[in-house]
Amino acid sequence: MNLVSIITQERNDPRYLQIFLLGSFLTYGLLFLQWSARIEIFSAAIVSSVATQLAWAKFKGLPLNSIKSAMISALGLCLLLRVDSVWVMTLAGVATISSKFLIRYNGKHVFNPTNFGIILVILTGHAWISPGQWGHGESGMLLILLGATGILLRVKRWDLSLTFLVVLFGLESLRLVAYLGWDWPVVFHRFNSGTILLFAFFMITDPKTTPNSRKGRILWASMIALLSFFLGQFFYLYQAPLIALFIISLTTPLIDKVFKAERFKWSSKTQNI
Amino acid sequence: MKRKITAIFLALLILSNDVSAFCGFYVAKASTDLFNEKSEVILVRDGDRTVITMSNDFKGDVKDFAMVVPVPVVLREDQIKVVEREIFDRLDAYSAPRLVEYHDANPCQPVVAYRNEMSMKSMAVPDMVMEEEMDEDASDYGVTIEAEYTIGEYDILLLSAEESDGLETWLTKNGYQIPTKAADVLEPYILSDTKFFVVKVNLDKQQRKGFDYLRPIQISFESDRFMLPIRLGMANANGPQDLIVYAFTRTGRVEAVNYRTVKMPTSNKIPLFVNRYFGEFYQDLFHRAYHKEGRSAVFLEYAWNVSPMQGMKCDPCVSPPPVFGDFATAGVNWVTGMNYESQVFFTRLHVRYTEDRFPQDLQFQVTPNAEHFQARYIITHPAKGDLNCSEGDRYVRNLESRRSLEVKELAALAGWTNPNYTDYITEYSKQFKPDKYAPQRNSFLPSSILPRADGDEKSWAKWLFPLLVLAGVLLLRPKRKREKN
Repeated sequence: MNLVSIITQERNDPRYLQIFLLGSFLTYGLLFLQWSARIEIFSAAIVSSVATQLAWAKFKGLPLNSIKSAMISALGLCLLLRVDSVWVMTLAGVATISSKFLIRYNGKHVFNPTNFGIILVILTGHAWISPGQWGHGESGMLLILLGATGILLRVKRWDLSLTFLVVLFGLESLRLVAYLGWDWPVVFHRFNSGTILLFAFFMITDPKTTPNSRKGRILWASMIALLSFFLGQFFYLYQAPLIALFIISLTTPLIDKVFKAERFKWSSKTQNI
Repeated sequence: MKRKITAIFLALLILSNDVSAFCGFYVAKASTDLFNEKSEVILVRDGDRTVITMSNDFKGDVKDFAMVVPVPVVLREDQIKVVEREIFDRLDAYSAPRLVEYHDANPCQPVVAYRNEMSMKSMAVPDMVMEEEMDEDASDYGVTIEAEYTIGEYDILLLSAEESDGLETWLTKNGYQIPTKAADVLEPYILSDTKFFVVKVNLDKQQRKGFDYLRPIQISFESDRFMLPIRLGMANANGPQDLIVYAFTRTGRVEAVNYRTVKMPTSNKIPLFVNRYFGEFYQDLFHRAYHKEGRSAVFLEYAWNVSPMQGMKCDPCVSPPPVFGDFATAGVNWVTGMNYESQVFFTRLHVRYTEDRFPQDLQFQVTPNAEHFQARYIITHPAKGDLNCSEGDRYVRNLESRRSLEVKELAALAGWTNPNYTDYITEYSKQFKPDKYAPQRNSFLPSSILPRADGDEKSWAKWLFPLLVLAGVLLLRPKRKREKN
């Protein structure tokens, strides 16, 4: 394969775009939203994720070009997870990547890696997420929506985001506005949040851990929306979507069995990690 | 103009009672009294246990006082207490934004540092106003009196209601003046099965106790919700309201879940004369920060580990840190003594809320984040004495450029400008540089440390950023070539 064709091949990998976008979100947060810029913690996320990926790849005898996926997971951790020490972030990175190799069913990993890592380290009591960190400014939302459009067109998983947002919006509107009698701004305020949009567009759309068929995906995303609605409204869990994704991920193998379709590959040449 | 640490150590020895650390002396604080329409709340959160202490800065006739607070459960008598007002004053004084001072050492000779102090004026305005006497036809309106207590100087009712109109009518009939918009606001609380904690003053008890003010009420309960119901209070507010939250947890900072929590600007060097106007300075600084963050942020003013075993509980201390008695009063019941189990973390948050920007009640979470923070502003006294030596000349030149930065910082933070500030900048230079044609040699300072006088530039960049990202997306767009696998 000559150099030109390698470059074209690589360029077509949507993961570059995804890395670029997640990196931009992080930069935006640091520049305009006063996120605490702790270089050592961000480095810990990236180094531990990439190193774990390389170690597993070597151990399993896989090619080493899956670093891109590890980078995406690491940036996801930097964006969402807040920790009180470098070691907690390192643990998150190792857990995130290892979950891809350890928790597998039918040749596919079960949990969204970043989601798994976040839930695991929150349980240690040394990490938390800040759902309010995006604030409610307009330019930040524009940024995320813009990035989302770009990436969803590439990996063709917009059905997931759309289903999740529509179902959740419907349920919350019914409860908050129609039943409880709050004003519409309450619902808009809940959805005008970078955290929920980031989750809808960048986390649940991971093609490797979502059902293979469209029908399956719509069912799957609806279940996540329903569960996070219940957890959020009745159990007051502010991490509701993350927990919902974690639980519903367990049903993916079953859904894949019922709704059969071809498995996603990043590109024709890459392997399945 | 090297800040001379030795001088400050010297002062430490002389004034060991007054100063506690070497990062500057406390000279003034911006207490909560500076903010009109304000309320103060102490929150204690430990697992599902919540203790809320609400201060009453009600200044009218006490018989007109009444308060309605939504609570998640019917409270037992032992879950309601009346506490002394001092706890709020102590916590406010301890955690208020502070002005600290440094002294430059004379480059030509050693000097002794001194300390000065100032006090703040205060003003305050009442919060909720309602009224007395009730009759017993509650059930006609779908209102149930779940419990009724007299605690301290207060008569307390716990109500549950079936619908908001009934509750509104019942309250009005019983002499509580309800704001017109209240029914709409009550509805969502009633439907989520919230109870209402209704308080008014028992005049007999009040007179017997001889207080001329109202003491704070403290309620405690178990609930998985960690929040403050601010929406109800908006019904009778006509402008922004300030809320100061003093929070105690076992692990770390409290932050808002559904709003952005932002640190106040801190450690900025500002001109010397600000110590005469520190209250005004902080008011304006807060006002600007509030607008800059889109009027929708929760501000962190103070965060510190105040555990009994913790060595340094403030740096510098504005007033004594909370001690065992304060923990007990606030409801921090896990502190048992000088042991490692008694971990307490204190957070002070300042929220300015309006109806449009805060559509939801404030929800909080306890984080493991135990990083210390304080809103602290620095003034630096110039060196005293004879500066006629070569080091002295350089010191004066540096002083001028430092003061020019301080003036810019003042403009950026509080928006204060005044042509006379030039005199402040050149105060010493004039003395020692009689040659008015002497070059202005302050350009060696890197331009990046010059603070921007105007926050708007950044918001402009905020919009440019997504556009740059768009360009990046287009650049990374794939060639139109479908892949088949």
